[in-house]
Amino acid sequence: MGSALWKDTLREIKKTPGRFFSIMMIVAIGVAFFAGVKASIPDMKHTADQYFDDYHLMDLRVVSTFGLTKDDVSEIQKIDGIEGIFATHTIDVLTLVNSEQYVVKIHALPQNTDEQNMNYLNRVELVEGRLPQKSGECVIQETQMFELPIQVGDQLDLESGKQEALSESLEKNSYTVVGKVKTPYYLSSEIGSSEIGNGKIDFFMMIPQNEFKAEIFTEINLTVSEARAFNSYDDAYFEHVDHVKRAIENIAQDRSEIRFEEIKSEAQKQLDERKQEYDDGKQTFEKEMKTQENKLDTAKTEMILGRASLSANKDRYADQFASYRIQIEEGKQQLETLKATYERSEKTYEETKPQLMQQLDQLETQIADITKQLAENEEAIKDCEQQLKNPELTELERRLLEEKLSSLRQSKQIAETALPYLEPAKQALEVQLKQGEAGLKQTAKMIETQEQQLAIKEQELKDGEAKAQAEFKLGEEKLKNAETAYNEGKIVLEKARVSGQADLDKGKEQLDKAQKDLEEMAEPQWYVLDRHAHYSYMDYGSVADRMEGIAKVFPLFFFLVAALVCLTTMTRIVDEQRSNIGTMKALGYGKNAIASKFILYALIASVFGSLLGCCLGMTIFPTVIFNAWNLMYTLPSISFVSQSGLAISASLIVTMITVSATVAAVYKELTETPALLMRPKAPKAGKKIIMERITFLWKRMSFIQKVTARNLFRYKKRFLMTVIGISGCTALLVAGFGIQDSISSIVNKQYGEILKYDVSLQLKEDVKDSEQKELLKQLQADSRISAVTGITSESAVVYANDEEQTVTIVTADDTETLPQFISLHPRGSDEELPLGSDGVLISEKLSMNCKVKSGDTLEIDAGDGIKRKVTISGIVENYVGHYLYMAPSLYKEVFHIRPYDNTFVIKLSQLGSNEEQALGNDLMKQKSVSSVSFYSGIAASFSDTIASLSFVVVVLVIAAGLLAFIVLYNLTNVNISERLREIATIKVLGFYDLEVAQYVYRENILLTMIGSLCGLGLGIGLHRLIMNLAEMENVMFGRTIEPLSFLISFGITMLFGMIVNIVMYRKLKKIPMVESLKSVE
Amino acid sequence: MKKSQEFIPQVKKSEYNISDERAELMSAYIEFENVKKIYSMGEVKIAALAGVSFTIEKGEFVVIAGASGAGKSTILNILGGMDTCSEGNIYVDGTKISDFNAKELTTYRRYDIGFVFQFYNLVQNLTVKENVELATQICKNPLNIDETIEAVGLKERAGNFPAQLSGGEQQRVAIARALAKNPKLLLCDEPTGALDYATGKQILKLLQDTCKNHGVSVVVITHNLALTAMGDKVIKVRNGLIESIEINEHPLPVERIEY
Ligand SMILES: Nc1ncnc2c1ncn2[C@@H]1O[C@H](COP(=O)(O)OP(=O)(O)OP(=O)(O)O)[C@@H](O)[C@H]1O
Ligand SMILES: [Mg+2]
Repeated sequence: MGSALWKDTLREIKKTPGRFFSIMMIVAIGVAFFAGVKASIPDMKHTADQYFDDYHLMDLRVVSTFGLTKDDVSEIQKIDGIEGIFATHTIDVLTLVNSEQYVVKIHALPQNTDEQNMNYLNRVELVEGRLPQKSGECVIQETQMFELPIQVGDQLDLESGKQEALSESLEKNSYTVVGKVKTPYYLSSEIGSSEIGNGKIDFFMMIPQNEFKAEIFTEINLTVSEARAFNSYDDAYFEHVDHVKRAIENIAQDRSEIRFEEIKSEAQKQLDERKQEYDDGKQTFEKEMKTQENKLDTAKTEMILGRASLSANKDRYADQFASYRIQIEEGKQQLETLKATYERSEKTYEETKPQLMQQLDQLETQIADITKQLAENEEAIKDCEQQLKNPELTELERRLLEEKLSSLRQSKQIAETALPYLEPAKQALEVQLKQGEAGLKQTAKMIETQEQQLAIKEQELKDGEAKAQAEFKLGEEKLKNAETAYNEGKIVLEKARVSGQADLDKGKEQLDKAQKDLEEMAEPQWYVLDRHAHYSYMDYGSVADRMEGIAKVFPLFFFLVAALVCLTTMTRIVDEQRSNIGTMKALGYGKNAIASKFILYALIASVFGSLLGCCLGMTIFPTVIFNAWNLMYTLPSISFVSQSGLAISASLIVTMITVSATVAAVYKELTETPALLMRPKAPKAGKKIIMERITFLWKRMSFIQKVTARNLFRYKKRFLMTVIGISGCTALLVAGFGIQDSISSIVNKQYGEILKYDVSLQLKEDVKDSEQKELLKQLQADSRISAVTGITSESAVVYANDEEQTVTIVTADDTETLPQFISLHPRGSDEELPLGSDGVLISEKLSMNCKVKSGDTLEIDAGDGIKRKVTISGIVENYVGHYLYMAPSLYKEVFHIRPYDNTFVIKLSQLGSNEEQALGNDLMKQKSVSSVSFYSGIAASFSDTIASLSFVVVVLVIAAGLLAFIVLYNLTNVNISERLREIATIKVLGFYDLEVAQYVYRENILLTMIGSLCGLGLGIGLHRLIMNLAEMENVMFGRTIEPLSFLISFGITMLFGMIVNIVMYRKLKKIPMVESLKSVE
Repeated sequence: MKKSQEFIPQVKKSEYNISDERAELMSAYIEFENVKKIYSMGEVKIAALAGVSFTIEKGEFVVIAGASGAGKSTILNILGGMDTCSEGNIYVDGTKISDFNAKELTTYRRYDIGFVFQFYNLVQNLTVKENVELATQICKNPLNIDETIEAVGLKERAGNFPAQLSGGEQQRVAIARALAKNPKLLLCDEPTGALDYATGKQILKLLQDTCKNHGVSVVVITHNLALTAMGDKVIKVRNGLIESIEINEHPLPVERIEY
């Protein structure tokens, strides 16, 4: 029977190659995924271990909190079981490349880099150039994730980034890059954190050991004899290494005590020097302040005096002007009096003048009369005398004459006496008149003079006043200037005092802290670290282990699909073989014998499928997974480790599944009687589907829709198989495209929506408060800069739940404007979380890594070794790096030191590489600036990485395609073979080929759609799973999948469906119509 | 269903009008001219038809009889456009269908041919009515579905699935499906082959009535020589050749035939 069974089975396979192929392929895919993903874990670890072995990665590393001496080294060397030992130095330095600051970790290469030198540990793989041969040469890391803008041949100028000069530690401060290397010591670009620069080490550099000046080693690396024989990811390895580790730990205590005393005294001496420096500085400052104050005081006194004299002058002038005015007033009064007198005199004069004139006239008349009388008298006298001389004259006559003469003489005398009186009277009168007139005239003249004088006086007053006014104005101006100068001086002084004081306070705080630190200084502690403490080793191991999660999900799914594919196919085969089974049964074959044909069929398919799946899966998947991770890690190409156990178990599992499915398919037929079996199987009766009960809906459906709906619900297994298979296909696609979306979206989110600034400007460590303010002012004035603010950014280590994470602490004085630069919102919300004194905000990935949530507490060590507790008040969206945001008040409360701005973040008015270049150059000229980072560069370098991820997507698309093809091919194949008669009939009815295709495919398409829609949901979950696994420690990938990706995934799934349909269309077309004439089998 | 009012009379009239014109132009409604069908199986060549010629008139009821393997089905298939001949000419209603390509043949089947199979070939997943609908929804001038179903006496079972019907009932559904297309030609390959005597008779009656009432040419294949009495024309086939063609001036109604 054996050979007959084989022949029969083989013929069956030949007859139905499509079905056989479907089962084989789905088995192959299931096994490939299961074994492939699982195998990648040991493969990855094996590859890493090989790399470690080949490059003599140290097995143990000894570090001490205070470094290690030559004596320490020789003590360790005495221990048994050590193969190689390399005591060495590391130092973190800063370098500036294209105005961007990089933190570099320098390691030493031994002088003798010969292969045979067992003390040459942590060897390097030269990727480019050569190893350093002389002083001043170095090799740098060949970076993986991002390209360093440094070429072989470039010269790197190094800075210590600390107070002490670099020349204290290294021979040179400038090294020429002569090569690029990789080393198993660092498998990824994650080098670690540093106390200098921005706190994150960008790359490592290696220089010959004797370039280090220090006597004290920072670490001792060693390899344990025969440890290479073990896989270091196995426990046996650690067991082997452990006895050496314990031996070193035994000598540690003694060695560290010796060291402690040495160090403490040295440190105190240094601190004292610094204290002295501080005191000196303080004195100088205070003296300077005093001088400035004195100067100001003098200025103030002068100003007060000036003001007093000005006001005195004003008073004096005012007095003068007042008396002047009084004089003028008096003059005016006099003038008035004069004028009145004049008027009065004039009046009197005018009144007396006629009288006087009359008197004068009378007098003149009198005088004239008298004179006339006198003259007449004279005549008469003469006559008389004449007559008297006449001798003839009688005495009487004489006497008469004489008498007459005498009377005449008397009258003449009287007249003559009167006359002299008259003349003077007349004269007196005339004088009087004249005098009156003259008096008037004089008075008039006096008035005129007086008026003139008054005018002069008034003019003088006016001039004087104007002059005085001008003088005052000048005086006041001078005074005002003096005052402004004084006030400004005062402000400047105040500012200088505040900033000086701040600087001093800062210095004081630092000193106090240093003193306290020194007092609290712990005894040196030796740490003997095995690879459990080696970041790269652990990191890569955990990455490999993470694949376990995927290895759990994928196979489950594929096995389910395999089971369904097998079930539908075998059911169909069994259906077709019905009469055959009946005949065999009738001939007396047992159930097992009959079933064995089908089981053999499934078995052969499974064995071949498993073989294929193992061969392909266990090479393709580990390679793809390994290479995907190797975007971030620098391992050499994969080396496989044989995993026959895995291959066998995977094959067994899947074979069991297919065989069970086959048994399930054949079981029902086996229980039927031969007679029943030999009759044609009643075609699966049509029946009403639930949808028909919803009459209003059913009525509205077209005939074709009804037919499709019926068929859809007719075959539940096929429905399930297709929907599950197709949903898997779409899910793979969604996950694939989602990976790209999520990773690419974080760049925009991180550097667009969260960190909204374009440039960050690191200030020098020792920058003064005043310089910083000055720079801020300058930046604010720059038209290329639209906004700027100062923040404090420093690295620290946080501890929570036994986790330890390096974070960047960010504080900003101006918490109001901070949201303009850094948006602190929870993921999926626009609400800005406030920075309050009640707690800190931490970035999301940090909270995940530390397993803390809002309301929990964290411990922060900001570099001084003291852990301080803070409460978390909120969790903010963030993708790259870990951040801890705190309000300045809280900062002060926690660290007992106020935050000092050390970074300016800047938003640019316009973006463009030319502008950035120009601005960068300008900024670097500022003496307080230590480095400038532009975020456009970061975004660009990240995009490159994402592009290289696309091959993961390709693999997922291929897997999805295979899945879709197998499932749809199987569905269509089974459908067509089962409905051959039906299809032939509708062809006879006159359906065109396309209509026939539509008639058959409508369900396929609908099933594909349903499956695809389910797959969209499933894809979200799968995507989330993969993202969780792929995530790096300090990067959180987005969980977003773009709507377009859903659309594309859906579209591609439908396309796969269409392709299968097109392939099957030919088969459909070939179905002969005579099939419709055949009798029912 | 607007067409229900213009059911039989109109169709009949137009059909006759056309055929009247054609009758003048052409010798016969359907004509086989030296048709050969040769199957080549590797080296061996099997002539299923070795040169067959006959004519069928409009509205004629033709019975094709002959032994198993004689080539009856081959003739029917070629006439129905399900298969092509290797040689010879075939004219149907003035069109040379032997030159048709696959697509033209489909169109020909679609509009001109109604086929009734030995094993009914109903779509199991569709109800009686839906099975009929399946045929009508692709043709230009279908008959009213309900009336057609009523005409084959299955009005009450219109909502049933084929599995719920007896063989005879299923065959009647198949006839209704062929008829509803309103074909020029109804081809039946051993329609009673799977049925008992009485049921077979019922079916044949239905076919004969259809031929008479609708004026459709009907071709029925049978093994049973007794049935030849009911045909207007009886074509006997033997070894891929026509043995005889008899015109039956007075065909008997089915009821009167005993076999
Ligand atoms: N596809 C084919 N390949 C080879 N030979 C065929 C094919 N189809 C039919 N034949 C042969 O052609 C001949 C005629 O067959 P056909 O089916 O027409 O016979 P029939 O008269 O219908 O017989 P029955 O009454 O048994 O149905 C037969 O000898 C058959 O073997
Ligand atoms: Mg036949």
